[in-house]
Amino acid sequence: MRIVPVAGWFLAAQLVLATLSFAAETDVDRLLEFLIKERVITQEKATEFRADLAIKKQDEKQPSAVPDWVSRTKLKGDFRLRYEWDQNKGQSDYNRARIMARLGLETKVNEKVKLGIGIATGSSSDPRTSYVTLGTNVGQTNTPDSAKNVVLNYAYGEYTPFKELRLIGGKFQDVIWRPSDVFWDTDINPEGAGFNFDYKLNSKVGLFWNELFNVLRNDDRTSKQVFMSVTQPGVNIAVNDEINLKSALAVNVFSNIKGAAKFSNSSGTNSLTAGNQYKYNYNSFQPSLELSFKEPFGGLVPYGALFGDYVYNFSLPDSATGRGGYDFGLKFGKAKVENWKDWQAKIIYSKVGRDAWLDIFPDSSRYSGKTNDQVVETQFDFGLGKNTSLTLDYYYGWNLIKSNSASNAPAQVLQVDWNVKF
Amino acid sequence: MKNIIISLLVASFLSVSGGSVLARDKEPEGTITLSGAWAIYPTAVAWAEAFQKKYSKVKIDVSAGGAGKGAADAIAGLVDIGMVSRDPDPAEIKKGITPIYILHDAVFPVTSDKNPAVAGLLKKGVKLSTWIGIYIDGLVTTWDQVVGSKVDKKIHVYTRSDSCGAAQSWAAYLGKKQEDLKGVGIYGDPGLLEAAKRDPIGLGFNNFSYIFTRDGSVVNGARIVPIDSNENGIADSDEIYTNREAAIKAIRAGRYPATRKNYFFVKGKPGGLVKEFIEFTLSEEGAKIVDETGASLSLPRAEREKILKNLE
Repeated sequence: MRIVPVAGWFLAAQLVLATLSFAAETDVDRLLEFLIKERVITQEKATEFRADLAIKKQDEKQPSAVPDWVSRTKLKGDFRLRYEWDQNKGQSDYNRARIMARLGLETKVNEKVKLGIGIATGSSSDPRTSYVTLGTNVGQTNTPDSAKNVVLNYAYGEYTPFKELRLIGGKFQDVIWRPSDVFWDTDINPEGAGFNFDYKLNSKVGLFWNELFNVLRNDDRTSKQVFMSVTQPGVNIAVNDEINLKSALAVNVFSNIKGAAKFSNSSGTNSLTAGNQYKYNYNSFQPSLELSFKEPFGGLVPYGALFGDYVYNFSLPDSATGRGGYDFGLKFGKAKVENWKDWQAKIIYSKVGRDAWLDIFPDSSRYSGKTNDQVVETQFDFGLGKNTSLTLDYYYGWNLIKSNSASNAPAQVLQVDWNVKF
Repeated sequence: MKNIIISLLVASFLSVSGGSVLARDKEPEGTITLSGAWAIYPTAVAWAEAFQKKYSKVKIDVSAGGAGKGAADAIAGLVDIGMVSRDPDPAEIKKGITPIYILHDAVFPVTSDKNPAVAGLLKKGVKLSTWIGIYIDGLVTTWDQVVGSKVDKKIHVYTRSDSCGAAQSWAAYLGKKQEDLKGVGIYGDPGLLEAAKRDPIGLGFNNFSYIFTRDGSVVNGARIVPIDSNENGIADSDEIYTNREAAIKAIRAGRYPATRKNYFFVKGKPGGLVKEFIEFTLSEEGAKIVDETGASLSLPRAEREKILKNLE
């Protein structure tokens, strides 16, 4: 192999350096490859030159046009456009168009700490929905085409001392695992503190422990402060390559709920005293279970799951009724609807006793979020493309106690949502 | 007349046998072109040399350029075989690529043996969250943040500028993609290794094939930074690699976290001379060449036989 003498190498190096002022690094690499091919320089010399160039770049590194914190920050959001038909037997049914918009950012402050802030459409007096109605609301005379309220949806600090443990405080997305939204509307972001502990015993079994401390009412007199704590140990088992079982037992404990004034966002079905105070406590056990399958029904669909919850209020006196509630359901199709033609169908049946659970938490679309009812829900999600989908959700609910009053009449709700997210 | 009859009989015999006798006896000839991953390049060169020695009428042209180049060249039909040191993308399969698993190897983080933090690194190792802090978040910027002692020096982070399997694999270990890796980009494995060796406060990553010498020791001037896989805050003896044997042991035992599969990408179903070459690489002779070259790990026999069967 003939190598050009030193002068030739010097000239070649000058040519390369001259290109630096206007060429991207890949142009330099192409030039070096050309010089290697033409036997002006050896592969080893080119390697040394590349290394020296890179080291020089470290010392000359200009501050990035984009601050570091920007690269550590995730911005996310979603928008939904909804058509809703609501029929309550004994009353006129109504149709309404609604929208929901949420925007949030999450940034890594250091290796172990994150912060998250999010805003959403909605009302500070109704934590169970972020939807706002287009036009005037049903039965109201408020201004059409009005600007919509935006509220602080979440604001939290998160600390991960080691990978298995996540501590969170502020207002944040629920840390408790719930296979359905029957007992907890997904729009509710609890306020207080919590943690998630996940530990893999081996490749098939994982243990977890979730804890939530939720401040429900904060008055200046200690005896009027109402708190809720949820302790949820659980297990995740990969039974085999196709079947997974997730199971947990939550213990819900409430402080000072009995005798507390009714919450303004109550659905009005829990037992109250003459003075509109909660008659009972709501301490409860709540086992939950989800059994999922890969390619069930002979591979007809990629995913299927059976799931259910049961809640039992053990703090009710023996004379009280309606202490239990449950839901069970089936979903199948794609585990996550993410792309064009992905779909998932779901059906849930639920029955909730009057005082099984606090009526400020259940899914508000499900018979107005009440207790003392039975509801059947069917839902179909269809992917319209990446990050956009259509959801059809239908509820039929009725009161456990037959009554002629309009508020206890059976009700149907149909919601059609166009979902878009980023 | 007699000669005509004999010729006709011979021709009939040949046509009945399908000419396959002649075909089987016919020595392979032609040209095969390969391009792509630096990780596979040394082994591919050794295979090519052995195959050409066996079949003198075959010419094999092997060039590097990175896994991205190998994939692109194979899809575009510019080469017969693309050498790709990462898992195939579904989009690549949709474009008609047949990926053939041929080798197994790993990516190792590398620093200079003159790095003042070396003692601390060999004592504590580096946890995954710290690697993410260095290469993804940019939250870990000095060596004292890594080793917890007073080595008050910035980390000069290096990555690969070419689309390559090494960067893809390293990023995958960190839960991300190549484009998410921070650092000054350098073209090719040799360049990245050279920078990490020359810069006393530099940090890079390299293919298994470039970090060890022929005699099995780590390349002079470089140190493999231990990954604290079990996150116990200590670089255990099976997390420190000073020779190829120790690294191979960890890779084969599944203890080393940044491992990956290497593939040949072929457009359509492999056939003819290309198929013969691939079968050669997966043969016992091919596996022996891999072990002798020492740049990658050969596949176990059962795995190779399964792949050969699929080729049929």
